[in-house]
Amino acid sequence: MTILLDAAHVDFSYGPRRVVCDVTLSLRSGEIVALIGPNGAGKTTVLKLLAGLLIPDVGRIGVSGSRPRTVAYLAQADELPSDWSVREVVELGRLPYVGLFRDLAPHDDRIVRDAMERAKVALLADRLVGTLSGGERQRVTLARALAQEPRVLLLDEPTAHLDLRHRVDLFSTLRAEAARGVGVVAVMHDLTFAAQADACVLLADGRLRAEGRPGDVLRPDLLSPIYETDLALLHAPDGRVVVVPGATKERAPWTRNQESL
Amino acid sequence: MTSTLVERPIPRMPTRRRARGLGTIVGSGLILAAVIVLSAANGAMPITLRETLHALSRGAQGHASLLEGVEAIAWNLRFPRVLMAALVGACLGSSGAAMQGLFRNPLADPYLLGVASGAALGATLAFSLSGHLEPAFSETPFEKGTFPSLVPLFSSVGAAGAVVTTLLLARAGAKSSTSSLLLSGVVVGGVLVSLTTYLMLRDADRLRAVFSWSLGNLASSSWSDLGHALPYAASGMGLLYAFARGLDALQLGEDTARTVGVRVGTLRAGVIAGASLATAAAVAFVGIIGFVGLVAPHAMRRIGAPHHRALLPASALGGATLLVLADLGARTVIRPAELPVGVVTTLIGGPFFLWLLRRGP
Repeated sequence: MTILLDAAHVDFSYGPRRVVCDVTLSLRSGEIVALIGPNGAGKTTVLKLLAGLLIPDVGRIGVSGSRPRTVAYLAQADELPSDWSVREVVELGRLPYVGLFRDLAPHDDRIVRDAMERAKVALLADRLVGTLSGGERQRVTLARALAQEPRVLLLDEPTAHLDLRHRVDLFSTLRAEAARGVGVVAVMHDLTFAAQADACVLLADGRLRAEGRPGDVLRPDLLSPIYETDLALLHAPDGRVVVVPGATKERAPWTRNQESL
Repeated sequence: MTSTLVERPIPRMPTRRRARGLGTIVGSGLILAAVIVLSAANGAMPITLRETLHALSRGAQGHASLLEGVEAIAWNLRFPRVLMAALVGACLGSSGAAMQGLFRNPLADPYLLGVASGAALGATLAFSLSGHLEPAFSETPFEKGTFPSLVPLFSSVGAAGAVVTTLLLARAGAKSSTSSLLLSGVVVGGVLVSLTTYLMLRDADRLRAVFSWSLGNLASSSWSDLGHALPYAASGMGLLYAFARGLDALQLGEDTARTVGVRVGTLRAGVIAGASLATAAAVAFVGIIGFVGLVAPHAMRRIGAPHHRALLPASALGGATLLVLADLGARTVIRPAELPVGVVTTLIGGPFFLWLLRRGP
């Protein structure tokens, strides 16, 4: 598969403090990569480096195609002006194509509409952003990114303010985009969702600690020392993996129920 | 997967927003034109609408020398004054909109980076050096003040110096450029105001003149002043308009704007240069007029032009209308004497702004 994004031995420092150290990773077309690690591990910095918002001190980051068209980025808390309509926000995703002066062509309008449909905000197109819920806003920023027709989608904690259903929705949208050949890198705190990615990259203190398939990275012996807490992996009845903190001392409720029956 | 869209009652449907932005601009333009004619017809001595329009058409055709009596007054005194008010209002309105967009702060105004205090210091110096005395508030619009010609030059140099100082201080400061710019602006403004106050107190004779200037003075505006101010005002506003869509993208946050291809550094430099140029042009000729740059963009955003490509021209037209009306009030409320126009804008602008805020979005 095509490699879309390729970071090799990247170092980055904020002043004297080195935040990212010798990070190497690549993103293939159609792949969802979860960037995990405790707070302060350098996840957001790595994402900003991939997005081209920060320039590495050492190492290089290669992109297949040209920024800003290829790479779309969703900040941790995207600010949205409350008196704009949803469509107007999504239209800004066309900026890399139309520039600062040209108006949107009918072709751009079609792409905007399509992006809104894929992010499931088409029915909200004329609503003012200020009237939307947190989950709806998140989908609007996603639609804005999709309107950019990116080959790489970078998301910083996209599930942070979402309830369960919206998390599931978001993940299915990301899956659909991956199926179209888009490569996705998402910073995730929710390890249960990270387990559904195609690959996990574990960062701690700015260094890469592990990478590979979720099953290889999400291991209690690897995660517990890094997160400095006891962790257990439970396999849900449908085969999915659930990461439970502190579960070495206390067993999950449903196993207890099964025993008592 | 089934669609999970939440159906909720829709409170407001801003359909055809682009058309609405255009409508706002055209509507404000028509209102401004009407207000200009109305304002030129009223004053210490009322002139009929017919005479005003006649003077306007003859003057515009280049036959101003043929005008007599009240028509000459309308063309030679009223129109330059009213048009200067419109130009200054346009500068302040669009600069205010651009600054609010740049700092993503609804409280930003054109004077944020020290333009006003720099201009005030320059004007105070000019008054001190020239030794001219300006009648504090002109009794009637017929009396053209002996406005020292040094004032526009000194105050624009002061305005430019203040903005450059603010930018240099901000660069020397912390990384977060927006907040360090705001703080540097406050510091520079404070220092310049105290210098100005010191100069004024040293030179109590000219206190009234400077004070009257600092509250805004349109009485002495002439066609030639208008001709001098126009190129700076137009290029400043033109520069702002060139960055309109960049300002739109900036509303999604600096990082997002960068990732859709906006050069934020260039955008910031361009907007600050454009706003400073337009504001300095306004302040240099008529002094410091408060609230127009704050109120006009807010009002226009509410009316339906939240995008900068509509908001900037709409705020220019709205600011112009506001200032022309304020000047009309200043000339007529206690006629034949005049109120300083800055006092009128603040007295009307303050409560109006509070009303806008209380009305909610």
